[in-house]
Amino acid sequence: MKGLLLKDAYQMWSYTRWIILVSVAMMLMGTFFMKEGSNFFMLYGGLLLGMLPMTLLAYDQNSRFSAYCAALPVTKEQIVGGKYLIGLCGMALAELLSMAALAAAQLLWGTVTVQIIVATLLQVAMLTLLGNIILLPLTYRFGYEKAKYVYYLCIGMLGGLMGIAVSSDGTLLNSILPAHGSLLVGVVVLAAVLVLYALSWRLSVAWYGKAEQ
Amino acid sequence: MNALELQGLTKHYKDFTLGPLDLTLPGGTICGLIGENGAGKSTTIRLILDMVRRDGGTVTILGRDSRTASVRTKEEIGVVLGSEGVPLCLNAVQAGKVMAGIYQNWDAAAYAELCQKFGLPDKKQYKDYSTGMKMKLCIAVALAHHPKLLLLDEATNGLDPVVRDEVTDLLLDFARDENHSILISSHIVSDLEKLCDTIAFLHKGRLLLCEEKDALREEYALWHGTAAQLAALDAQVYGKRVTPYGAEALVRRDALPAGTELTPVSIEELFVLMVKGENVQ
Repeated sequence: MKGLLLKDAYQMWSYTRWIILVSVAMMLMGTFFMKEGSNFFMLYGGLLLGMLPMTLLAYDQNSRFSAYCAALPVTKEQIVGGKYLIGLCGMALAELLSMAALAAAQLLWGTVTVQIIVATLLQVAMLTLLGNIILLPLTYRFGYEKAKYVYYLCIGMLGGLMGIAVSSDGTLLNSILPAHGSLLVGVVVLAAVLVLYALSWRLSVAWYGKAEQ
Repeated sequence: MNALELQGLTKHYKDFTLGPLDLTLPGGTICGLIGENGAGKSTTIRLILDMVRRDGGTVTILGRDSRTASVRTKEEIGVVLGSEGVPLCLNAVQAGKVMAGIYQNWDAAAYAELCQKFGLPDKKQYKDYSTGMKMKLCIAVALAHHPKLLLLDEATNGLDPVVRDEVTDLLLDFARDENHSILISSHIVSDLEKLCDTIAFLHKGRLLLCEEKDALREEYALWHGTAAQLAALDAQVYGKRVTPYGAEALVRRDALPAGTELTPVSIEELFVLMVKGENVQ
């Protein structure tokens, strides 16, 4: 397992540095847009960090490491679990960056309320994890080449949703995401997302086991 | 204990069927799996490793069924799947560190020695390696955790003759230990002729024969004559080659009367004649 994570760390450094850099840039922009109370760019940064596991899996499939893994002394749970662990690390990084951006916004503009903090952190957590919940099992089942079309569809749907939300003055988005829900509702939603994340991991393990390498 | 036992191993695809294959690899021996491109060599190795689901038969690897082979069993197997599998962005040092985190028996010193022996650069990324260098790194990775069984799929492809000779020596050294065995597939028959104790011929998914190399040389020979003499030959012909200058046929020595003039047959000729017979020019 340690070796698999180290391999992913090397791959992240080689291939996905730009994702992390762009996410940091998004969070910086989020700090400025928080002047008007908008956390859109922080969410977008989280969404980008959520792409890390699938991007790494695509590189694994491209180099045939996914197939080679089946001959190595590692379990299917470890092979798949590594990607889900990276997804959680991506979420943690997104949360840290969001907290830093919110803190900077509060210092600069003084517009950050407790409600915005809770809503932003929950939304970022959901956005980083939801993409992986849906796409990682599909990638293990059908391969990156096919699964990426589902990914594009998700991005398109999200973009459409954002557009509708903006045109409705933000009220629709807030009604969908737990921006104005109570902390308890938020925690329940987050817990549900984490349960879905665990189920998604089990499904990915099952589908990786079924796929012929 | 046999390192590997295949019994009735079968795999069906829409346009290709592999098997049923029966093959045994005793400890301390090297078996060469020879076959033309598409004969089923790689599929056989993938079936052994349970990377592909088998439709029938059994695979026993180091005493355990391959489907239930534990992580511990895989610790004892070294694998080369062509030049595939190593992440493209890694260099030799990084690949060693990654494998050290995967194999409990990883021997960093042995790996460094192999990399040095093969002249692999420390800092160059795998994607920038030549085909031969890629293969050498894969072989170094397969050997550096002291496996008991090596499964090598086309592991000598792309190597220049000097390195191929070095690799052959390395593999012969490895198999000197009676607990060590190698199953190596290749379509370069001359490589396997030097290396193997046993030869298995795979053709269109079927195992044509599986015998000791020396026994094959003793049992089979080349008969030479004219086309007319060939037509009158009173023995089973396993393959023949007819040219305007004469004819030759692959026959069993014991099928012809004593004193018949025969010449020894190389494993490569044996394979080509058996597979292609009279189509060979």
